Amino acid sequence: MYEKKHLAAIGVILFAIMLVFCSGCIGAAETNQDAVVKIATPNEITEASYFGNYNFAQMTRVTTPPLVQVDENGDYTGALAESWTVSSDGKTWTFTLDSDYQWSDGTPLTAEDVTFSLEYTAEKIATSPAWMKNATISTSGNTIIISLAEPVYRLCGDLVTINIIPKHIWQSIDTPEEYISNGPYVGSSAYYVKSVDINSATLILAANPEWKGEAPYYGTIEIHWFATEDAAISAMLGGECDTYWKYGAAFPTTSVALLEASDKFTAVQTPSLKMSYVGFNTITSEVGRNLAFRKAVGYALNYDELVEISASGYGVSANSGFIPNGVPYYKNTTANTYNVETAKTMLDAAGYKDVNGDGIREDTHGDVLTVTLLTRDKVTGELIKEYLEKVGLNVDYKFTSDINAWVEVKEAHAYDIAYNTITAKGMMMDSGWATGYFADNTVGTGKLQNVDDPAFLELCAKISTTPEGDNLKSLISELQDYYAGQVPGIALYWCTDVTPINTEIDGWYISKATGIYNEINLLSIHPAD
Amino acid sequence: MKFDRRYILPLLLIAVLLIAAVFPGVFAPYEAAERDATYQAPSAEHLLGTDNMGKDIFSLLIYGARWTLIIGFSSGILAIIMGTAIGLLAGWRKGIPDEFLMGTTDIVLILPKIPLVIILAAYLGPSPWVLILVLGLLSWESIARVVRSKVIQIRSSNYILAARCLGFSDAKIMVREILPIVFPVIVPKFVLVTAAAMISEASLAFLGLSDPMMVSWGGMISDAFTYSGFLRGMWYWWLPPALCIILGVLAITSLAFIHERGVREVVQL
Amino acid sequence: MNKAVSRKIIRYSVCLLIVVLLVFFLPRCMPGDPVQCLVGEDVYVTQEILDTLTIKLGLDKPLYEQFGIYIRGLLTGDLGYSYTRHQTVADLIWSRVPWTLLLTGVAMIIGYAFGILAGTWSGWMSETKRSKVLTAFGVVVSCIPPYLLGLIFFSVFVYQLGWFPYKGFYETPDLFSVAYHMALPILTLALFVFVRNLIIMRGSVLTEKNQLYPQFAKSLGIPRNKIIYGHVLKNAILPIVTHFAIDFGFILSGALFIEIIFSLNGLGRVMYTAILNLDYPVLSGLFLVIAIMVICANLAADILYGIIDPRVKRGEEE
Repeated sequence: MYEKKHLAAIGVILFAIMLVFCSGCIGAAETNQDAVVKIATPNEITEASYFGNYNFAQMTRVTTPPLVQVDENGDYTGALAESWTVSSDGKTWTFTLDSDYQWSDGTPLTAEDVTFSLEYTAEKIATSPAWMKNATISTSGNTIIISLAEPVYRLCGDLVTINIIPKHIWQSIDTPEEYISNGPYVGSSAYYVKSVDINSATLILAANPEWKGEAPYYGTIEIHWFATEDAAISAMLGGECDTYWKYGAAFPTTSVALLEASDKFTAVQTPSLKMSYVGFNTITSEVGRNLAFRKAVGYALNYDELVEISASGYGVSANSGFIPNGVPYYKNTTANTYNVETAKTMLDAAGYKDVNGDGIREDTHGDVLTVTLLTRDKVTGELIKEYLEKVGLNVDYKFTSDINAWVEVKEAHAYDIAYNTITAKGMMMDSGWATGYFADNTVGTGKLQNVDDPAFLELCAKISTTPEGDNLKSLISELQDYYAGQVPGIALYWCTDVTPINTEIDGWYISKATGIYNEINLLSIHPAD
Repeated sequence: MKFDRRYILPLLLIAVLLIAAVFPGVFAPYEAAERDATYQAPSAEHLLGTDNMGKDIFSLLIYGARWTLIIGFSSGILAIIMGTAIGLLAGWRKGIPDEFLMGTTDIVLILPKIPLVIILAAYLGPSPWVLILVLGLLSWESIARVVRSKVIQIRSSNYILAARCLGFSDAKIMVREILPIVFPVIVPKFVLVTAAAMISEASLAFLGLSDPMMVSWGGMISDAFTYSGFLRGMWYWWLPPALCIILGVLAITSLAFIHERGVREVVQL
Repeated sequence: MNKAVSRKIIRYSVCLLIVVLLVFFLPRCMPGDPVQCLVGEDVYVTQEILDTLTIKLGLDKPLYEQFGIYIRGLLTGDLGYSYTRHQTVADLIWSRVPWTLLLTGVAMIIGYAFGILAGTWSGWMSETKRSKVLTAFGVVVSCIPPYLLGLIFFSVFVYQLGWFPYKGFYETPDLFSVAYHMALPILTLALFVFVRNLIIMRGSVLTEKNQLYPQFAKSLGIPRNKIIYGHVLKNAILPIVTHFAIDFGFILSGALFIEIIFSLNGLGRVMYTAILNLDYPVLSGLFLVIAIMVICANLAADILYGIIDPRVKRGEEE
């Protein structure tokens, strides 16, 4: 009896707790149609074109989600797809749809829509990935099977940027990049695009009545864009907007001090996949081909100061293994160290001595050792120039103000050392792990492509044809040893992403790829108590 | 000729700016490239604080005078060389040069200069020389006009006739006799072009179309804007260069204003 | 149509031709592939599109034939295609022109009206302290780069005081909202127009003041205000009209900067985005359209001048 009473008591308590939880859940499950969250961004929608405007495409990703998305750890998680599998040969990918997603105009979302979207993108959009051109897509029930001619292991990386769009709307639109409409656009997730107005610079998302998943708290999401970053930040700090977001970029580090000074906002720091580095011209430059020189430069750079000034302190000094902590299969390698004396000794040993004693080193022919430094960034470029001069190098400083001029110098190999940055997306492009920035057989304007070493290119080829697992792990380990040993480039610092968090709102979820502007976050945010 | 006292203040100001531009090292407490802690507020060591790279703003202000003035004065000089040459020819020779001058006046006058500089800078890459060339080559119109009318006025005067009768060459007469007379009328025009160029430099720097390698006042304001100086309320970063531009332009234009030629043309972009 | 105006028209046509030639030759004289310069830099296009474009623009043909193709395109309103924005340049620009004209137009009306009145008063009362202060204020303001004044106004009136909205032409497309959103940008621009006209008008009235007719009118016992605003103003206004030529180009450039500061999606923003993306077709088209607008404004001013000043009507010049 005694025990029974106990059980009953526990049961009652549990029931009560459950009731409280449920009521809480029910409370949260109700969408407050009047509640609005306003996001300030410097990403301007210059025309209301779903496919034609890059920023609009990014912003509509949460209303017409792709099959998969990137989570807070940088891993892939389902969006429209509930789950997926890949065959061991990497040629067959099977996705199962999540039935929560339904078109906001009442049309059911089917596997047909996915097939249509993939084919439509492949056919109509110039920048669609190469594998899409010869993939066969079949459906059965709510599953989609993508059969590829060649194995593709990094398929998810491409799928995260392909929005799944309603077939019944888009099939009649022949030139999607030129199609302009102020909305509404049918969406499938918790929200759909209600309207976009380039005159008032506002994009309005409204709750999707057909959405079957957990209901979001906010009935309306407004995105307000501004001509300058400053205007966007001041709108946030001035209380006009609740938070700040910029595609592919965290909060500008120079302005973080303002968040710290404000009562309403806090700055959340997360390790980033972004980084900045210098690359050596190992193809045509005499000093660039000299490993001893490259290693010596590694000691000439003041990493702490670079973090302090270039990243306003929001970064960490890097390791010789190049790729940042946070990238899969990262391994610990020796840290980069700054030591002017070591750098000088190593340059002496490499044969670059200051023979005539004027403070500037001479090369092996006895001429003044001039290194050409290419940069697009004013602040970091100036710092690197100063460091190189400090160890006795004569620097020919090539500052290019736009990407075009930079590409011209880069393609002519008219530099010895170049400063560059790596984006989160770029880190995993081509064979991944920043290889795309080095290998000279890749395409792309922002990449230095400064290595033609067959050993390196072979390693890249192997990586791209190896599925996830121990084999890949050992290849990536080999790659990091290559970076550390052959020094095709030196990581200056690994960035830290700063996200401004409005303390009046709870439930923030920060995706590694898109920051706060992601489906999971829009579902989880709600006013703080 | 009695010296007008009103000239003293502007001339003094211009002299100060010129000295700063020529010998910045003497006045600047730090080298332009010297660095300290970043984003410092004004203090005894750093009168106007430090910028995003930790450079002393006060020193940058002094070093910035050079490029700003070079851009201003080079445009002005280019404009007077063009304007005086065309004006002299038109007034002296009449005929074809005169037709040319009167014909091109409207064209040069209405070509929108800032959009032109922008499109050129976008194609050719940002450089102070594009700005100098465009403003210099498109601002000679009013100079040529006043020179022409002055030349027409004096070409029939007795001493010029005498010089011609004595067999002096046209070139000699122009340089020896006419140039000194037209000089006073072109000075105010020169300063107006100079002032307009200084304002334009600042505007283009804001669009990111000035050479980031040169320290200029416009570039400083643009840096303050780019690197969060405005948001952080660092008025001591952007206000001093702004005041320098305003005061510089003011000093230069007031020379022309005192001369009772309209100040209106200062903003002639 | 009289002689003076027709002569002006010829000159404006030459000016237009120069602009067209410039826009035509710039991309074709740049080192490297002209196709890339005609497409823009920061844009991904397939080789297929580049090839079609080469044929369409006749880039493989001699220059004079290319020019023929180009002119024919212009005459049919074809300003090129922006590959970064997936629109024809003409559509892109025309959709933004009304807004920029609204901004400049209203600012000019306010600036001209108050500038002329205040200038007349200031010129007539040039010895008073208030007039001197006003003139000094005008000179100082005219020495500030327009974007800087915009930035200062933005941070004071929008960010600090919160009197005006942060961005956009409107929140809801109605008259009140548009007026509220455009007020500060218009006032900023109008201030520049105001001070320029103030200074010109003041100088002009100063000259008129010393002539005999105002004195004569005074001796006839005509009220002072009627003399100033009726007779002197009418005579002194001519320099304002002549300076319209320079002013319009300047005000338009100023508007471009102000649009950027106040996040207004007009021609200025189109230009700013095009600079950032090195979108050459848009930059060229924009330059052409701005030049045409300036020329049209000048033509209008010339005709107006002829109406106001009878001497011009008779075809006399100088």
